Amino acid sequence: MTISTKKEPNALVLTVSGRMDAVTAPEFEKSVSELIAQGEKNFLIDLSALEYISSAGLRSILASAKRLKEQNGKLVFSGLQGHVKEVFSISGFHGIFKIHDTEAEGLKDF
Amino acid sequence: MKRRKPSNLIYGVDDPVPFPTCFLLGLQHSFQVTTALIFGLIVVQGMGGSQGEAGFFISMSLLAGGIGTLLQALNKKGVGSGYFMPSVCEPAYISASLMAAKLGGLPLVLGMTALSGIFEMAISRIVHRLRKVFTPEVMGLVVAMVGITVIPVAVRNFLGITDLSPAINPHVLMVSIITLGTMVSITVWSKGKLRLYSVIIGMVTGYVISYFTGLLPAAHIQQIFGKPLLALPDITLLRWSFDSSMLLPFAIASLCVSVKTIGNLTTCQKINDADWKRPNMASIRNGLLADGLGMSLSGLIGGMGQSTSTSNIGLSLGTGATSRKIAFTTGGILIALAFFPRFAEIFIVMPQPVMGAAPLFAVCFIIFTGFQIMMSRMLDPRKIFILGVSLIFGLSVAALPQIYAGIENHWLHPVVTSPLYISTLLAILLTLIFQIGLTKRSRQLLETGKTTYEQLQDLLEQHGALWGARREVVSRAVSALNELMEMLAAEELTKEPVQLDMSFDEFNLDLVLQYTGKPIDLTGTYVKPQSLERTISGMQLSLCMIRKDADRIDSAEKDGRQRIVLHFDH
Repeated sequence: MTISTKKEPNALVLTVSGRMDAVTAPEFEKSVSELIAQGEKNFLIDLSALEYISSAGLRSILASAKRLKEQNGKLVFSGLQGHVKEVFSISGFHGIFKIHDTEAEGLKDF
Repeated sequence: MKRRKPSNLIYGVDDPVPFPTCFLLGLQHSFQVTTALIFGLIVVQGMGGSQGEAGFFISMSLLAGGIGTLLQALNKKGVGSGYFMPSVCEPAYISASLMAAKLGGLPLVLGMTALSGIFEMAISRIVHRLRKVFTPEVMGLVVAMVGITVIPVAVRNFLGITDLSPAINPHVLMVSIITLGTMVSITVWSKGKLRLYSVIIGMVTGYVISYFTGLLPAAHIQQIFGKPLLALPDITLLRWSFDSSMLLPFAIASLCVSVKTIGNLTTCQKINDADWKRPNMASIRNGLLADGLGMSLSGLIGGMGQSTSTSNIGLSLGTGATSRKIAFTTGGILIALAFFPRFAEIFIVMPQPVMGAAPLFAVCFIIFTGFQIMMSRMLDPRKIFILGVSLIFGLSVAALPQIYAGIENHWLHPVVTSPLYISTLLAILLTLIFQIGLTKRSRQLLETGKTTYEQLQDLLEQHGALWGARREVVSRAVSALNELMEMLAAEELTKEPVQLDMSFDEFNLDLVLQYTGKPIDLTGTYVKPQSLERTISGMQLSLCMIRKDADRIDSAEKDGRQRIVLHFDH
């Protein structure tokens, strides 16, 4: 899994690619925690290049979102594809997060 | 059932269709259905029954076809696949029906047809267990043999041969060639929608030329107009009888029909879902039940054995309209036609060249559709022997009937006198025998909490490639296995290594995991979170994701050792 960041006027875009499983999920959670500690509050997580996510990945997303909510921050997703989109749907995550088709649409949410 | 409409369809199976379009499409399909009445006529001809019986048999076949079409489209309370698949007179029943007709006339044909529907309904209940036997190769062989069985009757009529005059009749042959030539020319060289009506145009041409050349006597035309335009069927002709010697041929016929219907249902699933991956067995079960119900109903009301029409499925794909709304219109039109005796009479007086050319035209498509299905997968030596031996002995019945003439056993005789029945039985028997040694196995030890996704992916992909497993199934197996291994570690169900036994055959991929430790809880259900604050169960979330990928998950405990099975249909 690789995570790249891009600062936009209203939000920080995190592009996650590869696989988010029990091995890599803690790395995601740690990155988001560090960014929150640096004062970032608005996150757009672009998952268009994420090929696979396990329940460990989902749990780390949930933990990060809870942490961000405590700081009155906002977490939005974009670009979900295939397996990842299906996982968000069956797990009910699509109901508790805002999800957009593209990064550009997601940025309009902030 | 959610499905994505393929882009080549104008009206998908779930789409509404404006009434005028729906009616025209229904009319077109009804024309197509009436061409299969020729198979009913072959039975009537072989029966040597009265004109009244013939008219009744044809009208009731139309009525049964209409009801069968509606039942198939229903998809309610476990009956019907929900697809548009018109019911037609089924050529697989010709052999059995002719045997019954010679033995006990129309009542025996009807009684045994009603009974054979029950066979098909019984098969529908266990169809998921028969996947190993009903392979695409067996389906293709059955379809091809259905066509091959019709050849003797069709060719005799095409050449003008009768019991009284066993020599080729040049007069009939000439009209047959023109009739078949018209159908073939329109199919091959015409443009636009004319092609859809090639059989009807060819048949009309055959009738007209037969009339002008004396093969359709004026008395037959008067016979058509002598029938009332609108009338209720003469139910005094409705009688049923049964004969135990006919059980086997009708049971085999319904087995053949079941195999063919599974093929048709699978085709419908494929053409209506852009994301289709593998057969939906629930839909196949419901579809077979409707087909069997339609079959029994046909026998009970006085019609020929009915089943789903492959050529109508081709027509709906060709026109880009597979909506079940068209099924209701087509069913309605067919039911209405049953009450027009004049319409049925047109078919009853069918001249011999048309009775030869029309089935010959259909048989060309049936045989080669069968061969295409057979060749749709790589043929290894096992499949070549299954198909080869079954085909050779099936054809031997047609080519060398005297070999089997000595078999007088009343159970065996009907089987060995039909190329279709002997081929189907042999193909199923050989498929079962060749299951021996087909399952491939492998055992591995996985370290709990240390085995990564990449390692599992390498392991399963290597075995999958070696065994010829489909990539999509292997990919789901990797996801499910990784999720399960993560769950065992996260929930601390075990710290010991997990024994993984993999087994694969053409239809199943099973992963059996055994470990010493705590069990998984398969009784709970995952509750989707409504807000961030809601706590979610880690184990239930994992199981929810495993169930997304695996077709079945089971668990059992023995002497403190846990056994979890992940099953994937292949």
